[in-house]
Amino acid sequence: MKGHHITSRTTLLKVFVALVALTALTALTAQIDIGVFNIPLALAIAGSKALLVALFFMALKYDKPVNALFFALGVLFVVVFLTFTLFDTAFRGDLGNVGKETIHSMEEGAEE
Amino acid sequence: MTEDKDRNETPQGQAAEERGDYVTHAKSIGSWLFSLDHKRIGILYAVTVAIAFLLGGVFALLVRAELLSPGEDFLSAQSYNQMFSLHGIVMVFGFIIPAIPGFLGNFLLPLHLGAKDVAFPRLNLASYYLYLLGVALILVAMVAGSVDTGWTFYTPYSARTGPSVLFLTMAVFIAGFASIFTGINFIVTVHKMRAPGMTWNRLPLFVWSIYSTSIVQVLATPVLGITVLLLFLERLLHIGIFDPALGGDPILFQHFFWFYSHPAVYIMILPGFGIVSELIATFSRQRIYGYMAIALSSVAIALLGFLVWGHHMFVAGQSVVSSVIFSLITYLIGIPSGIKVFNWIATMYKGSISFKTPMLYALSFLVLFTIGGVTGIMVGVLAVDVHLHDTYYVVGHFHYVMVGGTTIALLGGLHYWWPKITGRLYNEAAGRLAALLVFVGLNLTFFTQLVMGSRGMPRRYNDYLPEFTFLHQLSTVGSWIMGAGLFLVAIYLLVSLFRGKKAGANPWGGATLEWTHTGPRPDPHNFHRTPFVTRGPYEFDRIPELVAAHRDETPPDAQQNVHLNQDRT
Ligand code: HEM
Ligand SMILES: [Cu+2]
Repeated sequence: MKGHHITSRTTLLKVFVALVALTALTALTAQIDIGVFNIPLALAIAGSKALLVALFFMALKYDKPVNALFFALGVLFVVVFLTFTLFDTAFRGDLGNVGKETIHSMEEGAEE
Repeated sequence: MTEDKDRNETPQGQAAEERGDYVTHAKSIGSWLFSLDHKRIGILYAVTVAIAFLLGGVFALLVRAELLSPGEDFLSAQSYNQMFSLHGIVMVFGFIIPAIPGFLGNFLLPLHLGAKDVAFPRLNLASYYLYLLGVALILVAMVAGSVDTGWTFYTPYSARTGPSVLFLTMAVFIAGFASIFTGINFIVTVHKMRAPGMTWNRLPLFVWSIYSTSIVQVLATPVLGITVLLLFLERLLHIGIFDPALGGDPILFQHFFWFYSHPAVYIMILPGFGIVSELIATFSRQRIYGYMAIALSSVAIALLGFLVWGHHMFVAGQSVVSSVIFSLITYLIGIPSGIKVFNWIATMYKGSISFKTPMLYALSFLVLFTIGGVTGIMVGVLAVDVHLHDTYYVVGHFHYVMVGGTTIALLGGLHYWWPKITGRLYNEAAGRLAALLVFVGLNLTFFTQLVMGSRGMPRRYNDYLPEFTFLHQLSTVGSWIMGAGLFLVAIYLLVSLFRGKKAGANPWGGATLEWTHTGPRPDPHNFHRTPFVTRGPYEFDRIPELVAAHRDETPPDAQQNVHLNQDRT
C-alpha cells in the first residue's frame, strides 16, 4: 500500500484562513437583505466551506479518484432528494381544490 | 482447450482435508455465535430470519382469520391495527430486507468470487448482531405496548400514538445500520476479493444482483436513519418537522420515508432476480441469454429506483407537477424489469429443462413477479391510482412482488443451495408438492385481493361490507394453503437435516465455483487452493472436465451426476 498523503502545514493553514474568512463573509452577508438570494448565497458559502474541508482536511484531493466518485455520488443523491421534494413543496396546492395552508393554520384562521 | 488451474499447490491442501468441512471443523456453540466465517454468519442469519418469518407469518394468519367473516370477530379495531402493523414491521425489517443478502448473500458471495471470505469478516459479524439487536427491540416494543401506525410510521399517526413507537423506530434505525454495513462489506468484497481471472463479465448473475443491492443499501438506508431520527427529535423535543400542530409538514415525512423505502423494495427484489438467474441457467443447462443485459438492468433498476418514490404519494396532497414527473419515471422502471423477464424466458428456450423443486420456484417467480410488476405499473398510472390507492389492490400488488417475487426466489435458492449448505438432499416429491401448495395458496390469497381492491375494498380495516365476504373467505383459505405448504417445507427440510441422503458436491450440475470447486460442504476456507478462473459462470458443457480435475474432492455419487450432465449437454 502506498503511504498516506501528508498535506503540508502551509496548505492546511491557508485552508484554515479561507474557512475563517468564509465564516466572516457569512456573518457579513447575513446583515444585508438581498431578497430571494439570501438563502442561496448562504448555502453557496457553506457549500464551498464543506468542499474545502472534504478536499484538503479529509484529503479527498489526494486520494484515489474512486473515492471522489463515491463522494460525488453521495452529493448527487442529496441533490436528487432535495430537487424532487421541491417539485412537490414549491408547487403544493396546484391541484386547485386543495389549499396551500396546513390544517393548523386553517384551524387558527377559523378561530379568528 | 484451457483448463481451470490451481495456483499455490501446497501440501496444506492435505491438512485442510483432514480438518473437516465448515460445519464439522469446530463444534462449540461459541464457534458458531462468534464465527467470522461468512458461511456460518450466513447460517446465523438464516435461523434468525426464519424465526422472524414464522412470527410475521403467525401475525398474518391472525389478520386473515379476523377477516374470515364480516364484523368484529376476535380483534378489536385497535388490536387489528397493531396486528397488521407488527406483521408489516417484522416481515419488512426482520425478514425480507435481510433475508437474501444476509443468508444466501453471505454464504455465497465469497464462494462465487473464488474468495476465502468477505472483505471485512468482523464487520460482517457486527452487522449480524446489530440486526439481531434490531429484531430483539421489535420484540421488546411488542411486549411493552404495541404500535398501530402500519410499517410506514406515517405522521401524524406516529407523532400521536403511544411511546412504544419510539422503541420500534429505534429498532428500525439499528437494523438499518446492519444493512448499511453489509452493503459496504459486499461492495468492497466484489471489488477487491475476486479470484484471479474472475473478471466482471465472469461474475455469476447472483453477484451482480447482490452488488446492485448493496449500492442501494449504502445510498438509501442512511435516509431511513435520518427520518427516524427526525421523528425522535420531534417527539422528544417538540421541534416542528412533520407534525402540522408544531408547524411541520406531514407529507415531508412521506418524502423522507419513501426516498428510502421505494429503493428498499429493490433491496428486497434484486437479490431475488439474482437467484432466479442462477436457477434458470442451471435447470435449463443453458448459458444465460443476454448476460450483460440482465447484469446491467439490475444496476439500472437500482439507480432508477431512486427517482420514483413519489408514486406512493399521488393522493397524499403532493403537487400535481411532482405526481406527473414521478408517474412518468415509474413507467420507465418497467423497461429493465421487462428486459429481465424476457431474457430469462429466452434462456429457457430450447434448453433442456428439468423441473426440479428449485426450478418450480423459478417458474413460479416468472409468473408471480410479472403479475406483481404489471399491477405496479397500473397503480403507477395517476388517474387509476386515485381509485386504487389504499385499497386491497395495492395490498395485492406488493404481496405479489414481495411474496411471489422475493420469498419465492428465496425458497428456490434455499432448495437449490440446501445440499451445498447442509451436505444433504431433501425429499424431492415433498419439495414439489410444497412448491405447488405455496403457488396455489399464494394466488388464492392475493389474486382475490386484487379483485376486491378494484371493487373498492379499502385496506387496513378489521371489518367489511357483506358483499366482500366470499372473496375475503377465499383469501383466508388461500393463506391456510400457503401456510400448509410452508409448514411442509419446514418439516422435510428438518428431516433432511438429520436423516437426509448425503449429497454429492454438485447434485444439480451447476457451473459456478461453489459447485465445481468445493466438496459437498465447503472447506472452512472455501477452496483448498485459490481457483484460477478461465471461464464464464454458465459454461455447462465444461463441467465434466472441470470436475474431473477435482475428482479427488468429489464423492462417487456426484460423479454419476457428471455423466448425466454429459448426456444432456
Ligand atoms: C415493476 C415495478 C414496480 C412498480 C411500477 C411499482 C409501483 C408501485 C406503486 C405506484 C405503488 C403505490 C400504490 C399506492 O399506494 O396507491 C406501489 C406500492 C407498493 N409497492 Fe410497488 N411497484 C413495483 C415493484 C415493487 C417491488 C419489486 C416491490 C417489493 C418487493 C414493491 C413493493 C411495494 C410496496 C410494499 C407497496 C405499498 C407500500 C404501502 O403503502 O404500504 N413494488 N408500487
Ligand atoms: Cu414504490
